[in-house]
Amino acid sequence: MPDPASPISGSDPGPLHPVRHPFRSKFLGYLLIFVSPPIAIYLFLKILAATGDERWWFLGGIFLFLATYGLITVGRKLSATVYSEAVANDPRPPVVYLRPFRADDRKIASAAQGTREGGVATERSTAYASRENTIRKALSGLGPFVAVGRPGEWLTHAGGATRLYLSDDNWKQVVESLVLTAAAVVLQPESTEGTLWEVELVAHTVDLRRVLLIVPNPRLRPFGFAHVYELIAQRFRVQLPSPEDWPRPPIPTFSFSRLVLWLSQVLNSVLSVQPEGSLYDAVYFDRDRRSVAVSLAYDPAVPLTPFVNFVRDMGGAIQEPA
Amino acid sequence: MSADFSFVERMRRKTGRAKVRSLCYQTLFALGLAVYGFYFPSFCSDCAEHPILKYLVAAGAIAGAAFWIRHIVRSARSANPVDLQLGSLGDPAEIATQLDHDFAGQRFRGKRLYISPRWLSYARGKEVIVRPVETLVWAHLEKVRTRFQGLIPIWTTHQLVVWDRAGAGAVFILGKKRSEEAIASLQTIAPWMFFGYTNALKESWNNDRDDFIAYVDQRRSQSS
Repeated sequence: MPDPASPISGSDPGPLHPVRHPFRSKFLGYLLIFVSPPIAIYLFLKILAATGDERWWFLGGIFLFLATYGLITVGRKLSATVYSEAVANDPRPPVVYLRPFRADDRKIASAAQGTREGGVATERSTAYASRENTIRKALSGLGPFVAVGRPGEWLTHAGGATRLYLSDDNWKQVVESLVLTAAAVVLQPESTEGTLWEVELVAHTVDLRRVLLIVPNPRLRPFGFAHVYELIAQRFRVQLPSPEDWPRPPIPTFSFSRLVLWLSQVLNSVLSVQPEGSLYDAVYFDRDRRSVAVSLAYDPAVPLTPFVNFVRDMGGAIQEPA
Repeated sequence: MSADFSFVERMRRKTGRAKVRSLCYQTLFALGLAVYGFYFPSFCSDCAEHPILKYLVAAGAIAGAAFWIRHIVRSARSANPVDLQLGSLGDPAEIATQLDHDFAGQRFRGKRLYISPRWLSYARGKEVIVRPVETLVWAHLEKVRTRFQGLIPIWTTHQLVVWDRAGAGAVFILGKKRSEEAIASLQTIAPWMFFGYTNALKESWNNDRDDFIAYVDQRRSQSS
């Protein structure tokens, strides 16, 4: 079983430092996932039998549903695959996801945010903006999707990249080694110190055609896109597609997604996808190193097929271990 | 006599009266709650089955009323809402002088937004909002549907929202027509601001606020 803090077989990441891993227990996780729904149903039936008051049925049902949802989420996190298991189960070179930790928490809100004085309060709802899970599914044909976990997390992330927890002392060495043994790199460039170092690393060590950039959608975040456009032009010496050439989200004429989108607008709530698309989209570079923008609003598997096929054709890792 | 009062003084008097009115209503309700709590054990219909519960309910109601009255006393001791608002913006006397100068000759009325090249001024009941125009970066209309149980729309409120460079929003309930007129006035006075609401503006404000404000500053420097 590989050491979770030492993902590389051929290069030396330096002395390993103790790092606190999130709490996890497959048994407890599966227990929560499989046992909490029947218990919730049993309690709901008890409420139905105990009272004739419809308010208790309604409120009790909502409470039990939310409690079950929360317990299943905790169960998924407790039983999530860790890095060592992911690389043991899948011998292919990994796909490494490099992003600022704050990207995990970024939310898309139904209204402008800030303190307000006066007037009538609006309904405010939020949804997570990260498209990590969507990207993981689209790139599942390449290899295990891994990312560095946020230090100090009590529970790991479920549903996206498999997390690898590193100490502050040697994370750069380990990330560098990880990038060199990866099949592809998914990079979300931002202006934090750590992410700028990762941008430099990728710009100097990785074939551009193995890089999938996660950039702000210029239709929703023109200022954020302008920053990334400049950063990529400076560090990678390539140009991203212009906002005019940016793809619109491919919403089908009628689908469950469209129905949910319409309902969310009627109820003034928000999904991670708006009519203009998601907060982040992707850019890859074709065989001739021309940038191609892809909307991450819905399933990007089809538009990302050329990227996946090309990386697969190239084979191996960015730098094969000695 | 009243015609002699300045704009700010009128605003002060109106909001002061509204504050007194609100405190009177609150005192009545708080006293009502205290009386209800005091007599609750004597008229509670099914309290024979719950002998302790009636005293708990009574104690809760009296404690709630006591906290409410404490809040009312504190509010009564605080300054006039106009002075509190002006004090939060700088020297109240100087700002009052500027407001009086800018809105000289205008008769102050509640629920109206007064716009000058330097100031926005608004009062509704005891609520007072004054904002310097130079700090504003974005203005848009907002339609808020009030729903029964979160589902059935009951009424709609049209309000104007202006955001300043500190990220604080001021919301004026004006109705649709007056909100649109206010936007038109602001477009004339501060054309460098962003006007209207789109998802792009919302996301830029939420995610790239520094760039948003820098862009407004750039437009302002170009326009001047």
